[in-house]
Amino acid sequence: MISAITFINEKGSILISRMYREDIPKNFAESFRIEVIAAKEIGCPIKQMEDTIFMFQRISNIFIVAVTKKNVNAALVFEFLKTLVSVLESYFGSVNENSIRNNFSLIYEILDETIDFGYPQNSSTDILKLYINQENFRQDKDSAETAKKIAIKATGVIGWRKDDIFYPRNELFLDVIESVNLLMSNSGNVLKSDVAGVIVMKSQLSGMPECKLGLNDKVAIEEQTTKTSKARDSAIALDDCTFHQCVKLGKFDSDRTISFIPPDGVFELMKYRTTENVMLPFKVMPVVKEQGGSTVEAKVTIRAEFSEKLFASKVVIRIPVPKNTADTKTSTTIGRAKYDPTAEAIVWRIKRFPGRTESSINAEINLIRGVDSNKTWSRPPISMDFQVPMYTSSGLRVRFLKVFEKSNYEAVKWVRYITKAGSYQIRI
Amino acid sequence: MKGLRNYIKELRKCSTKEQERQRVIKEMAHIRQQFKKSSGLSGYDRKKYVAKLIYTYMNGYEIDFGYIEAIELLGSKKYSEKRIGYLAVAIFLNENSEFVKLIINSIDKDLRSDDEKFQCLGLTAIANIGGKEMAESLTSQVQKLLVAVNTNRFVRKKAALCLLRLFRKYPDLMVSSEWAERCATLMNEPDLGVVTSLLSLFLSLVAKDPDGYLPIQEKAINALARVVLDRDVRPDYIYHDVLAPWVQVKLLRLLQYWPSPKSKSVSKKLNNVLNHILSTGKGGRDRNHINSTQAILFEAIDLVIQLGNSRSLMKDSTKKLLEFLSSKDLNVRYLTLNSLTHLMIVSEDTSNVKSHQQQIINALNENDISIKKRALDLLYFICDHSNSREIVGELIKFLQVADHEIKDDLVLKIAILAERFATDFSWYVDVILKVIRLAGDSVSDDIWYRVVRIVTNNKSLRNYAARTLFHTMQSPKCHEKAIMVGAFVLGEFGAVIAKKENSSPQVQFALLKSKFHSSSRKTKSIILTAFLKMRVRHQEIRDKIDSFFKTHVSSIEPEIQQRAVEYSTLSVNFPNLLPVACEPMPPFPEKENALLKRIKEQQEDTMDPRAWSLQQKSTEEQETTSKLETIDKEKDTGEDEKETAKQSKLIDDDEDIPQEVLEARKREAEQMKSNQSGGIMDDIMSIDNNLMNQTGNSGYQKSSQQLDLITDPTNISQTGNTANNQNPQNDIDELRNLDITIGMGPQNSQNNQENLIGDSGMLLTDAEEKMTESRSRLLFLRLCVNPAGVLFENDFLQIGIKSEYHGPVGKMMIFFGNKTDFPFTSFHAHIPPVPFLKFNVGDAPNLVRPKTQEKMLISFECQEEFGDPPTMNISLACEGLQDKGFKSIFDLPIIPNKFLEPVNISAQDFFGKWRQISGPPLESQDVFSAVTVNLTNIASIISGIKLGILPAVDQNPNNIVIAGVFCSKKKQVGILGRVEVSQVKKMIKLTLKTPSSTITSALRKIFLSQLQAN
Repeated sequence: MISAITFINEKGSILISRMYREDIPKNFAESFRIEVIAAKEIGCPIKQMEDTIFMFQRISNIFIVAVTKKNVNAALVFEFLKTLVSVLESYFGSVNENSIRNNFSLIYEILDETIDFGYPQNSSTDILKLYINQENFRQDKDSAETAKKIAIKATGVIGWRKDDIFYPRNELFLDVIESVNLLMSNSGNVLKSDVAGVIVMKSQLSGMPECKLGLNDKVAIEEQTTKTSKARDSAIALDDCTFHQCVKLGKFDSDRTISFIPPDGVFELMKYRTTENVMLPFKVMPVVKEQGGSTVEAKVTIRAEFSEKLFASKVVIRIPVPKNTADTKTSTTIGRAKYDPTAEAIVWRIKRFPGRTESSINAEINLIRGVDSNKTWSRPPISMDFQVPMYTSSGLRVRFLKVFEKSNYEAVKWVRYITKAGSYQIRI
Repeated sequence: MKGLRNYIKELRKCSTKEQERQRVIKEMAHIRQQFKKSSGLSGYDRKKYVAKLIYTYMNGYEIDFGYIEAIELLGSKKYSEKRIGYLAVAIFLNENSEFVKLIINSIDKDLRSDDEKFQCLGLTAIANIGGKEMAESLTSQVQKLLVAVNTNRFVRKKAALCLLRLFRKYPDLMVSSEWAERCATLMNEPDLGVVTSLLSLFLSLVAKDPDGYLPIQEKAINALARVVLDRDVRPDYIYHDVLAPWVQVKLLRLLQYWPSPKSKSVSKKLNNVLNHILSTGKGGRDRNHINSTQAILFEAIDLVIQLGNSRSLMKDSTKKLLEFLSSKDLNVRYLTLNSLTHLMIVSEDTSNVKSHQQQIINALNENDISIKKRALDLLYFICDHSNSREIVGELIKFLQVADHEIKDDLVLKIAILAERFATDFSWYVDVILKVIRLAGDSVSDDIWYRVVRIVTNNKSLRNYAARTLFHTMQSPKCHEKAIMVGAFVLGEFGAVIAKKENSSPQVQFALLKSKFHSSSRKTKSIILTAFLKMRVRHQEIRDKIDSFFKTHVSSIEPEIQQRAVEYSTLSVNFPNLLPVACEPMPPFPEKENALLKRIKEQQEDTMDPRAWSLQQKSTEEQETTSKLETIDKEKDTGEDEKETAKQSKLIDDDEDIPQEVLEARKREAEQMKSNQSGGIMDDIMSIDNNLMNQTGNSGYQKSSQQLDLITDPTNISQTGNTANNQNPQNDIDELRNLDITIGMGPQNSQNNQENLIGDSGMLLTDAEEKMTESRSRLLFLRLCVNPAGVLFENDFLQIGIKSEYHGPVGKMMIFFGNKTDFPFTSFHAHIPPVPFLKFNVGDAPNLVRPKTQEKMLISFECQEEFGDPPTMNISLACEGLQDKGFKSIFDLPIIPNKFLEPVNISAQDFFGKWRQISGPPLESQDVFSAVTVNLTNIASIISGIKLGILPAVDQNPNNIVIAGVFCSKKKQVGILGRVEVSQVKKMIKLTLKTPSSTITSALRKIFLSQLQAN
């Protein structure tokens, strides 16, 4: 498990260091400074030196480093580092060298509470704030009851929510964010496609509300035989669902309903993946011809497959060019295109791409003859970035979202959908 | 160039590698764009961008453009641009680059220009890049610059060094006969700077061809005299009060390549110079002064040693060297020891040096390994009868603490010295045993072979050696090398000490047996052989030894198993032969001492050509040692015969030996004596070989090959594997044998078999020779009638084939055997498609590892009739081959007759069909002289072609009537034929009739190829 967490600045000196286990030498930061910072090897967030492993995250001008000698779950460590940053941010805004120097006693406290003997414990900001206070005020003598409350919170069943939250206006926001991954051959065959989705929720509800979320999940709908066949048609198969700790997994297992008591504020309710029936928002038809060794001609047409009522924004298409490109001439029907040498690609940006339309780019790429004329261009794939609001590639829909609370207030519910490009690649 | 400065600054500012890379890519894109611009680039810009490219390249990024721009800069008029151009060219290009051609012209132009700066740039570029083309086209120009009268002196310097570089790479470019005189005149140059450069060139030239450049000698002596005696040196060449030390050192070294000058006056001049150098060289104010004087002094001493013509000079040198022996400076001590070694090799008088022996021995304990090595060399050379015991004693003492690197050499030298100066051989044995005990791992095989040899050849030594080794082996920590020697000696001469109570045969047996299990395979083999010999001499332990053999008959190690099986069979089933096989070793014949040979090789590796005299000396020494070896050889052989007689008597009592065996033994002994070639192990081998041949049992003859490799580990591993058949070489051999075994088929007559065996026997010997066209043709023809065999073979590749046909469908397994020690990489076997065959080619291997075989399966279906066979293209790359690769096209033995099936039809049907077809092209008739007229042979060839013979059709027994069907996917073609054999004329008349002209002609070809005599 994690043997130490250290905050190291750009020069390699330690700002804060907390050792959890005694199995690493005291001067481990020195080797980190030499091997990682001085060697400029900060591209890869994991560095192994003999049997010591450094996993680090760079935030502005500091490194947060987790050190271990064990074969730990790297994903867990990085997840923890990420959460730690968000906890720190919730305490003192941005994390940087100055803010760390100013809050070091607070950080020590947080480090003590969040990890015990190298194992991550509670990292919920709300709960931590109950007993780690930014102001160094002494607690009242007669606060035995408060202390008791804290103890219950920290150890109880619903560790993620205080019970005395009150909002004058009860609101619940739900965002379905999907990123679609695609690998398409140059002849237009889909080689690989899948959608990774995440449902993010922001709750501003009073009391201890219990929520229920219904999706057009195939399994759930098939169980409820009373539903119409239409509903069954639009149902989709969800793979690999993972949930926030607040979701009652037992209930999900028995009848596929997602019911939970939400934590206060923003949280990731669930993640899922679908691999079947992925609706691709864009179709790309590339024609790239190498003419002799001196020019390459590329014509790329893309068509938006989603409904004309919708539009995509921030569309970026990167058309790769050979390394020995000298200059390029481009003409586009929409948006602007430019040769970016560092990306080794022509980058075509379109701010707003309406549905059911088609646009294309013509590019003439002039090459300079290299020394080794036999070297062939590897023809890397075209990649794309985009965002399509109110559209889900998987076809996922929220069927219902219900809130039950003792006081029976009416909560206002908002649902949004958005589809983004994950790794959206088309071979040429 | 501000742009360049900014670029460098920006790159340095980048905090991560990734950032830096991004910046570089951006800059490269910009430069590409600039270079691509159609409008001309200004010289300044070009210079700037090329400079940026150089900087980027030096930072480790690949640059694959801009070379043309750099080359354009070479042609510029401005010095600054030209310089950047040359810099870029020198950095980007190497001698193999294609661009070298493009710059030769510009360089040539610069060499011819009047501006000496340009000339220098050109010369530097030539020296930096080199390359064959450049050397060929520019050498003459460089030579011109070197000898031209009006050449500036720094250009001349550069030209000399440039030529040196070209000469090192292409020594043929300078011919001494043309150049010697001109070079000699160059030595008149007054400028010492130029002389230094010239001397560097001459050192290389003269080292290659000392005689050719003899004219330089006198000039060099004059130049030396000018510096040393006349002190004619410009003040800027005086270095810490020493006159031009570099020139002096180089001149002295140069002179070492020639023998003493012929002309008396010149010789005297040289002696004067040397005298002067030896007499000065004292004193010393500062480090640099001392260093340079000593450098000159050591070179001068080396020259004195090399010339070796003046006694007084020699004496002075020795005196000087002995003074230096106690110098505080490490380097001086090293050089002193080195020079003393040279001196000792040349000089006869070692007494002076010997008086300093203790000091040299002390040098062994220095920290520096190179000094230790020099000291060891020196001790080796000063060792003689008077001080050998002391020196060997010291060396053994040193062996206990010696570093690992020096141990091998040390052990070897101790072994040689101990042998050379042994006054009594017991001392020698003691020394060797001590060495084995102290550094057994460093004792190489030839050292202990030598011990065995000496013990065998010196009768007086045997008793002592056996006793000592016996006692040594009793210690539990005894080294394996000692066990090897011990096992051999006990096996041979164990009888000598057998009478004593505590070393009875039983004890000896128990001792060796106790060592057996912890030993390596090699040692085990020797112990087994020793047991076999003991078994003959000592009846009392016969049962024990037999049971010991028996337990190892199923040993997991093939080598041990083989020996155990052979020895137990030999001792149980051939009791008469056993004593013959285990006769005592005859004395080894005289030949070069393997150890001396090794030390000579070592010297050859390390010595430079000047030290030619070293080798002379060591050959002389060798003569003296061989004398020692023969000390009691003569009387030994005499006694030996007596001994043999005695022994045979002993055996006579036991079993009756046939007279012929005794004769055979004598013969063997004679053979032994005549056998003078090969190393020590050859002798042992040949003994075993002989004895096995004597058995006359062919089964043993084969296995004797395994037996003779008693002690060679590499061979053991190879032969040892025959049992489990993992050795790839065996596979290849097996494949090669295929065409003997499979090729015949069951129906072939005995007669034919013999024929074929004889044939393939010849082929096998052929295989050893170089591959010839006719041979591969022959192999192909053999495959035409056989389902399996070798398609191709040369000294690195073997292709074998196994095939199987059913009607129109065939399967073929192609084996590729790699006979080299290197892998075949990018191996590629491709069968181009043909219309008449539908191929289904399995995965072809793309790598064939050394000494292994890879296979490829192809299956095919015949679509229609055809004539010519399909081909297969093979290409491969292999490090071990001369031209790194091999490429060839082979015909695959897929020919029409493979798709034939014999049919049996009645005579009536036959003649009915026979008459339907007449006249070419459907009919073919040939009369030719036959390769054989033996009917059974012809019948077997016909069945090899896969045609059926109709026995009852033709009454004439000399006529063979044949019929068959050619099967393809589309149709079947009937085949009729008649072979009429004329026994008298040895001729054959062949008639073939088919409804397809293609088939007729194809079959005719096949028949002719198989039956016609050439």
